[in-house]
Amino acid sequence: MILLNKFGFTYLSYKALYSFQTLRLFILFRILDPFMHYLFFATLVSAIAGPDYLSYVVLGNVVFYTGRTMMINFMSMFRGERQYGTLELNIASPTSTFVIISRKAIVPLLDGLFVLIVGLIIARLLFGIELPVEQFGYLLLLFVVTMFSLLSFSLLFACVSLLFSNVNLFLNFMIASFQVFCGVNFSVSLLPGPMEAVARVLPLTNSIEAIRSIYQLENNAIRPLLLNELMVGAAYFIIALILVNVMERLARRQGALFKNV
Amino acid sequence: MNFFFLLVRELKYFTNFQNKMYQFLLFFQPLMFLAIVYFLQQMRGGVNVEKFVVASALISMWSYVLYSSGSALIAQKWSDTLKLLIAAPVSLFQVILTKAISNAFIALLSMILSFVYARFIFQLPVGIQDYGLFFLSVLVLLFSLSVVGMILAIVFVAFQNVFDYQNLILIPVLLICGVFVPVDSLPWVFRAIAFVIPMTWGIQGVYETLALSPQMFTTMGIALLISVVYFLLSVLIIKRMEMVLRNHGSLGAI
Repeated sequence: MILLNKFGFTYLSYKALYSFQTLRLFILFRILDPFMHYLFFATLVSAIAGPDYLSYVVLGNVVFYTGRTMMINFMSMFRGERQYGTLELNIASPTSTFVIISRKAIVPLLDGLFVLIVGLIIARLLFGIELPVEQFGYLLLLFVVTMFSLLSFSLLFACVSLLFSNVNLFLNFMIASFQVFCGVNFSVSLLPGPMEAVARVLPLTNSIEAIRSIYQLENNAIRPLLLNELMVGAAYFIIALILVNVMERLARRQGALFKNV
Repeated sequence: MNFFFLLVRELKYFTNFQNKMYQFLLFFQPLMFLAIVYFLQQMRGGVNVEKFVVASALISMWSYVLYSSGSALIAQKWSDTLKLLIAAPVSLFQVILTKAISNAFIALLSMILSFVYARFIFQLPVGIQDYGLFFLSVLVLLFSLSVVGMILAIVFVAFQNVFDYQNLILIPVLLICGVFVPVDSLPWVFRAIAFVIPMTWGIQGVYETLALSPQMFTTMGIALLISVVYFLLSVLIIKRMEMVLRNHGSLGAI
């Protein structure tokens, strides 16, 4: 019964807030749209830097698109709650706000994981990027670490997005910044010093370098990169946890949460 | 007179800083693409950067026209003001035309911004050898974009679901129209599609003007010719649309 309640909550949250309810839309936006995205950047980068960089760019964009999906999902979740006036109810509920958010996070997490796996399958089937079978252990570890760091950042990102009156502009700006700062299309070592320092504390940067190393497109040590990504994820997780608690306290004290927006 | 009044109102509305939806497309997106071009050209020497600076501008122009013109009429339908447009003293054709023209001119603003960013922020060469010819080719491209904008407005309002697929249209058109890879190098199916899109010729005209190719006037001529054909076709469809709206009070019949 407890399990049913827990999963029922996640399912209800999915039905209420998730935008792709039909299989047709799901296929279009979770398979065709990412494919178009990879194709676009593969063409752009191949045209400028040469076809040798195709695998490099496609893998970078597979991880980037996963991050993008999770950020959009989380932000839509918070925006939906805010739009329908149920954000405050989460805080008033006897269940801890963090537990509520965690249960809701299962859907974006599974969605992100699906996008990542489909991305790697597209990379194999349509771009001919061989899956490194011998590195399968590292690939699994990458899935876990990347999902954790993206989940943590997306949670923080969604909390911060509540401060903005126009969340779409904030979302687009963040996504565009990630495209430049996280080494999606080119190595972060090309960025000037301070920009590279920023890139190193963003999620995705280490994961992108790790996936390229797993696919033997770069020669970096995989374990330190995954460890860095894990630490970056843990840092964002702690900040997000603090932010959720602060939001909760403020909401309880003031009886409202960003009601003026 | 109404036409110019509408045009000015449209331009003011979309360049309004309160209109946050388009701020990203106009101001931030060119920065992102130019940053990618800037760092990528460092990876490989001897890149024709000028072409990719123009390509960045073209991406922004097309995105803007797709989102603004594409949603021009459907937004009226959603806010239930489409019927008011039919009762207005100006024809539906004039309304759509002003929207398409104003959006194409704002797309030009995006191109100019891209060049300013390229020159002063990224120190990338824009590579225009003959400004007069380049401006002429951009005017032809703007005409093509206006016509494509009119068609998008019609298609999106007639088939509601198309709006869901706006993101899916953005990239294939950029790839097919030869923004990065020349149309001639595409498989014949895509080449055939590309040649009937007015923007393909407009974009090719811009690139040929940059290289001062002897074929540039022919390309611009073809761009104008194809655009005029689409323009006449869209006039007919809009007239028919207006008639259906007047007779049935809705657009479901299209």
